[in-house]
Amino acid sequence: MPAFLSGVYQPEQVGQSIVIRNQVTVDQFAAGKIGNANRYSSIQLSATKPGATDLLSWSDKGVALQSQHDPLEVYRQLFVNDRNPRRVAKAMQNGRSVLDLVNEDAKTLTRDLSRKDRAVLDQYMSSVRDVEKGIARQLEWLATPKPKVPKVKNRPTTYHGNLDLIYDLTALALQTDSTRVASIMLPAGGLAIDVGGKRIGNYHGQSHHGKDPAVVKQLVDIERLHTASLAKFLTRLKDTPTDQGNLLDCTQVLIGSRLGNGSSHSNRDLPVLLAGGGHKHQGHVRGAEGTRLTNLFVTMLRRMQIEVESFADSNGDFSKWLG
Amino acid sequence: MNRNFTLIASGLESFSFKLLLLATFAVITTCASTASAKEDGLPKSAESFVKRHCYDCHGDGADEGDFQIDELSRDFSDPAAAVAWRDALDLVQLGEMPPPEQSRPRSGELRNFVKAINDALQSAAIKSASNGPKLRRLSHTALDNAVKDLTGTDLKLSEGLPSDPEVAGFDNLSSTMVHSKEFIDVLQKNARAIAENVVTNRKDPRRKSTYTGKRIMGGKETVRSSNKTVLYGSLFREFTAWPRRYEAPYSGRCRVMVTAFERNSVDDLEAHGLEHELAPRKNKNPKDDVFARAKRWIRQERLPRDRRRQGSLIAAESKEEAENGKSITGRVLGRFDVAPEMGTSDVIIDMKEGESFYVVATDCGRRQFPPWAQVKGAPKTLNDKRFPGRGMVIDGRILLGEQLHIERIEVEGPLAEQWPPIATTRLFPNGFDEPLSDQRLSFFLARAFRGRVSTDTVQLYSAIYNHILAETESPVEAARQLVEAVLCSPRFLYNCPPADQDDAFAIASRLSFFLWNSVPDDTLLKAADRGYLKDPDGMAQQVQRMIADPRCKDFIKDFTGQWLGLRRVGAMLPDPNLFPNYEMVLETSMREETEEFFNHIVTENRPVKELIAPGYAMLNDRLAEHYGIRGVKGGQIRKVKVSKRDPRGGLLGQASVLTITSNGTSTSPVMRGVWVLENLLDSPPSPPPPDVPAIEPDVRGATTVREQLAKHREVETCNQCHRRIDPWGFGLENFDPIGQWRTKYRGHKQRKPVDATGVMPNGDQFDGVEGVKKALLEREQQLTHALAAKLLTYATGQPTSIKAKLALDQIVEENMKGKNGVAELIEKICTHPVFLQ
Repeated sequence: MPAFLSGVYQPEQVGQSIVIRNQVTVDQFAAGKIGNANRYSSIQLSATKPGATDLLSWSDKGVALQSQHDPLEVYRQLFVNDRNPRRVAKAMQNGRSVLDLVNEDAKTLTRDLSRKDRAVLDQYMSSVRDVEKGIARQLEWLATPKPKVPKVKNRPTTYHGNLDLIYDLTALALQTDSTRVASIMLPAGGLAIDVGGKRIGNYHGQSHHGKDPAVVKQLVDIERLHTASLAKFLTRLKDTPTDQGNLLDCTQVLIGSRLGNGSSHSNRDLPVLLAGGGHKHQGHVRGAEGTRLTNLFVTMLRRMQIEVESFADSNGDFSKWLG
Repeated sequence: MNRNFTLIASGLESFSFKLLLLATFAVITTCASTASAKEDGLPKSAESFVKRHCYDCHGDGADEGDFQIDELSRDFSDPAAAVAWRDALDLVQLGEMPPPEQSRPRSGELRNFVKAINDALQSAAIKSASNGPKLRRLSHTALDNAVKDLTGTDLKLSEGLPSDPEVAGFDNLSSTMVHSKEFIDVLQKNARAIAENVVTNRKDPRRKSTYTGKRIMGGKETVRSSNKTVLYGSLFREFTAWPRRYEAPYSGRCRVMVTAFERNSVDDLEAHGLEHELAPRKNKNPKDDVFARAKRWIRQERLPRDRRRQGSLIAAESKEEAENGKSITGRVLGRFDVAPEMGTSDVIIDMKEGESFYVVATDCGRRQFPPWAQVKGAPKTLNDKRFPGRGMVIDGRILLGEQLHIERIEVEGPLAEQWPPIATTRLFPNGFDEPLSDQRLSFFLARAFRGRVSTDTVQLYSAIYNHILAETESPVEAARQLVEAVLCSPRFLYNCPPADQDDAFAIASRLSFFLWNSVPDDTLLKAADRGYLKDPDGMAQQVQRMIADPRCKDFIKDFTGQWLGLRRVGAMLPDPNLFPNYEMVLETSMREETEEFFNHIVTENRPVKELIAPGYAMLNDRLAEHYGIRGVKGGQIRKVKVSKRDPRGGLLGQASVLTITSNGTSTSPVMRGVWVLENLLDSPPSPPPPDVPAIEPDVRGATTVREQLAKHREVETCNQCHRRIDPWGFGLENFDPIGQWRTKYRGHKQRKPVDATGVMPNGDQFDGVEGVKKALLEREQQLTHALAAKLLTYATGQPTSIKAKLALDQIVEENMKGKNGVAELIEKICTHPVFLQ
């Protein structure tokens, strides 16, 4: 998954071994540029409980961000006001004084360290300061009431039931301008997928179909369900009016997979679909051999008025196809 | 303007990059291509050895395997060049280079060459300074163990922290650990929750509650029979049972005791010679052949009669009752064993205050609603006292399949060893009415920070305490703030490297985070304070004490999880259609087998060779069934004698290892080969070049993986590496993707026989796992070196430098003079200066 949105496969040698450190993914890159005026600069969601390797978004420091799969929790964070804002504010201030203290202590600790070790502690201290900034931002927003939306009471019991609700909450988050950047992971496990009455708990096995026609058919059925949920989401965006038309026209929706063929583990020719965003879409387009996925990201970023020359390994853009 | 941005990715494949991560190593790459060949670093005799034996393929413009030895720098102080030379040397010593088809070097010639390279490396290593940071953050597991030892709680400081990247399986290396906003953010929230838990003036919440009869609630799809709650399915919440209105009184660890039995009614009907006829409860679709389907379910779901059953405890928010159709999605708290006769088994679980749990009969009705049957001669016979499923008869019909009968549930918790919690009594031994003394505070900080603390530090932390105390007048609140700060402090989070032999406290920390994966205890700190650790005997004494201590288990679990990749057990569920046999009892047993095995080898100081061919296996009933070994009863893992020729016992015959090196559907000799090279021989192959066509498994039986790989190996660039990798995996082809023995592949039309023969890179022919084991045993020196290198990496948080490799050469040589015991090896590593690097 790591490279799908970062476009980076950059192995780095540590001793005798190679470690792959990811860089910022395109969503987080965009969030850093355009997300600062919103309550949340971005949100990370998941269709169902993600496994340890089901990661989609990476921060500018190359850290994988956790995603939230529980619709009640997503609802609470986005739309439920704190009952006692004064107490919350006090707790945040106390938290800040703890951070002040440990930062102070880190400074004294630095004195005895070598240059390389000091660099490690500098990272710690700058992280502490980042958290303090985050607290300051939360304190600012505490006074602003969250938008009111229909209440979410129950957790759905199937994979696609949950996914649909997550999509709905995403649409609401965009509509209320609570955030402008969202990423949604579709893990292979978690809640059961209801395929024609049969319940599949984890479809990783189906992606390694070994060319067995019956298994391939199941995989197709599951992917059809994914697509149906996506269609509902896109329709909802389209049916939501905004000042400039509808929500889909001002939202670029990208869906894709990290592997072109799960069975052979090939990461070439990834299935990628871009919808909305007011582009002049031309249906299925085929780039020349060697066209990078990140070329598409360049065009998407520019569409959001983020001026970039390139992104990760890009070697061009998609303006030819998206106008 | 375009303002929004939504990204969605599908998890078609949670396995991507694993192979690349496993197979990524640039050992013999052209790392020195910038430097021109310098002759002055290598003695003449060695230079001519290289010319004679290597240049045909790796010199004068030839670059097989992307390696040109004439272009390789002779400047041994260049770390990349030194590593490449050292790896080339390994291949020569193993007989893999020059390849078997070339002429062999004479033994004297070979000896001189080995000595020349080693001497050159040695003298360069002494000069070279090591690079990279040494300051090391505690790993996730170390954070949790440290909190437990300091404060007494089992709450996890690591919960939800971003994970650290793995390097060759290790996530505790100084240079790759995460320091980020997300880390501090989650850490502080967890630290706060822990502080509230361990600093408290609440009265003792420890209690025991017992639930029987109607106090055990059951969902709609459960039955009450002879005062027992009977569960017969596990699909949804309505099949579960729970203690009525139970709420955990305090966050922490609890013991749950379940008194129950579980039987399959089909077994009992057969045992009593009772005939039955299916009577499905409804048949909506007339075309649907319900009878055929029901019969199939019974067959599919029927477990071997003697197999141990388990039930699970799942976390629930207390107010949540069993709603119809709801999935079972909560956190799995734990599993308990159930026997066919009534008995009690207990399970330890971690709960949050106010949380409840429910019981799922994991092995009952796993895929479908169980069918009903009309029993001839019922109900009289079935109500007979000899029939344990009695009472399950309703209107002359009986439910077929597995049934869990619960008689009693007892919950005891929180299981705190003392009350108030240890953190509270350490700060306030006489209660909160007495003010916090500087002495108490400095003791507390010294433990948390693992050494002496300066008065400046004490003052800093006492300031925050006094500040909150003045503001709130609550010593409890002030002490919570203090504990939160301690757990977020860099002095707690980081281990400073030992400056030298005299840096006793840093050495004590290195020892304890190595052998216990936690903070030093008072004895170790005292030994450090008195200077005992400066003396090798004093050090050895501590090592022996620590290996004998139960906390050593934390090291075993953490180390094997990383070194052998056991953390990946269960990460990828084997295809349930191909492997209906794979279930949770097996999965947990697999991991335990390898952990117990390595634990035995360490604590009993068994020789390194036993990792491969021990002549015994660590088994329980479930593993024995899996391996086809008779006479092992009960869930406890114990040592079982097997013949030395038995495929089971050593690491290569363990289901855990064989499962994590497969993708859940088919086996890959490449992945297994890479696993052997990386983990057992510490000689990882180079990464595959970009754009290689991947191998697509075909389970229809038309081609075997060997046939596919053969095609791959016809390409010379592929063959360069695959002749080193594949043989190890070919030898293990008799083990299927979950480690069961097989002689034929699966297939729809034809079942091709397994061919487990091969040729080792040095030209030796072999057949099957026995051949692979023999080849490994012949490489005892390399096996020991690899294990020592992994231990050292884990202990120091540094990747093996060339300097460390040379030090390990000495340690290994020394250890192999004796019986080559693993505990002795650990002791030698700890007492060598390289341990402080």
